[in-house]
Amino acid sequence: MNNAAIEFIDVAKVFSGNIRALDNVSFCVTKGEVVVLLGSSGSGKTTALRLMNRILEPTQGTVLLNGIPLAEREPISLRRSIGYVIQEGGLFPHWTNAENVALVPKLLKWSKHGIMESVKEHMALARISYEEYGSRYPASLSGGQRQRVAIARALAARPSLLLFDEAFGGLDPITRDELHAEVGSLIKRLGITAIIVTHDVVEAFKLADRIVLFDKGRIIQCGTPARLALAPVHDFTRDFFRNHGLELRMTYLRIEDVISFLKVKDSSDLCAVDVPGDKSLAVALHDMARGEYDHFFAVCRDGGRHGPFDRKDVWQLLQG
Amino acid sequence: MSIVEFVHIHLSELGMRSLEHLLLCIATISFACLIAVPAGILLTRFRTLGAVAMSFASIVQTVPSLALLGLLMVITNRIGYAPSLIALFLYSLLPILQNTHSGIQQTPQSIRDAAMALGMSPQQVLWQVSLPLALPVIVAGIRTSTVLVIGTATLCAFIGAGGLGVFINRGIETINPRLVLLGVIPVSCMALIADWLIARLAKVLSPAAPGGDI
Repeated sequence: MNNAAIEFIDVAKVFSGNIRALDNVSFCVTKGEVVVLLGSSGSGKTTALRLMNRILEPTQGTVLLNGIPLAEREPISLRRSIGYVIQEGGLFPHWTNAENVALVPKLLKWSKHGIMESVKEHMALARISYEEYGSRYPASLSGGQRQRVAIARALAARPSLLLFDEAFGGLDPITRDELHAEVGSLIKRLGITAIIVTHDVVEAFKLADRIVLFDKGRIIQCGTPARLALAPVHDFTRDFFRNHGLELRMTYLRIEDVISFLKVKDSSDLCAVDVPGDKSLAVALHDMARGEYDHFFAVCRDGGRHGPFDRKDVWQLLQG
Repeated sequence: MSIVEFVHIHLSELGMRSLEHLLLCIATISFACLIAVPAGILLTRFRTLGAVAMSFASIVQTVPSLALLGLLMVITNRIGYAPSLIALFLYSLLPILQNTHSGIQQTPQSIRDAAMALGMSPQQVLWQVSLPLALPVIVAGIRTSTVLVIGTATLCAFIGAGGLGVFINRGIETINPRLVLLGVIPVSCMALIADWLIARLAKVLSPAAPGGDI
């Protein structure tokens, strides 16, 4: 597969004391995809992430980056080519925010001018003003602002892969929502492959193209958020989403995510309305109920028009 | 004899003894820094060695300073400057060693993780991150040692190394409190000034001081 950014082939990681953190893990991340590694603490998701930039080495199996086994890459230059954001940022308190952002370009010995350009550009992308905050120290920033600096730092050397390790944990809910939305659209805009480790189900639904659900070092299920929410293959998946069930499906699933789970009605004389595919189920259902439409066509962002579907089938899915 | 007269008579000797004292202390602290700071850094790399060296320094610290001087006089078979310097040096190691070691180990894990994950080599993490962040703690150790050494150096007069301890000895022998004070007051002043100077130096070197390009 030459379109794979990251590929895990039968990877196991055993820590001293015979603790199996990962066991026979295989999955693949396509270029430009946003994949969330989801699981509770100790499930192995962070271990999987740390194998990707060789902070850890697999006990068994192979990890490929762009088709090349990681074992063949020199760890330090590898890490410089991968963006990394951790919880609380991990900014250097004795460097100014701009110096922090300049870290990787400096390590790569870019020209002064190039470094400066990159710092300004990426602080702007992360929406933290260079003029206002560039020469200040991280201690003078709020948690959300620090995380923006950390994101700018991760992006500064223009990596094609970005790793987030519980990067949004420890932020207040409002700041977190804000960052989720911005980071989600930023990654897509830059076309970067992103791996996001989290235990936050809502975060996973908001950001993921695909979710890899971990438990006890194994992959339980892997698929789109809709697939995990609507077609769990395992009791664990069902249980993991239980607390958020309806809210998740209503708010974070869009019409185009679920049409593959719906039956197409074959009668052509139905009175059906066109619904934009990127509408959340909650909004779409609400609009249809208000217009008293029972059937609809989904008009997806890729231009496809699918249907007609029955509104009641959507309800059925939600009850799941 | 008035105090003014008393001081006047002893002025030239006071100058000489202060200089002796100062030189002894500067030499000691310089050696101690040269050895203990790199050793403290190295010890963060080698755990068992670190534990051994740290307990050695702790044991030295528990030996009463006067006894240490006496022992070294016997061991080196000399009196004067050399055994004094060695004793004071051994005595001043622990605070610097300990503070350097723990200062570097105190670098928050999240910062070390980020530094490594973004592609800094272990040397770069040490020199650009851990060491600058540990600097205030290391300097605090040097301050403690300096004050300790300036005080303890008065004992070196017993084995003929001179310094301000000479006045204190002579004052005790002749039951002359003025002479004792003539030794004590300059020693205290020297300790206070040294403490203040090093604190100032630390502020100038402080990592949070603005500077550097970009």
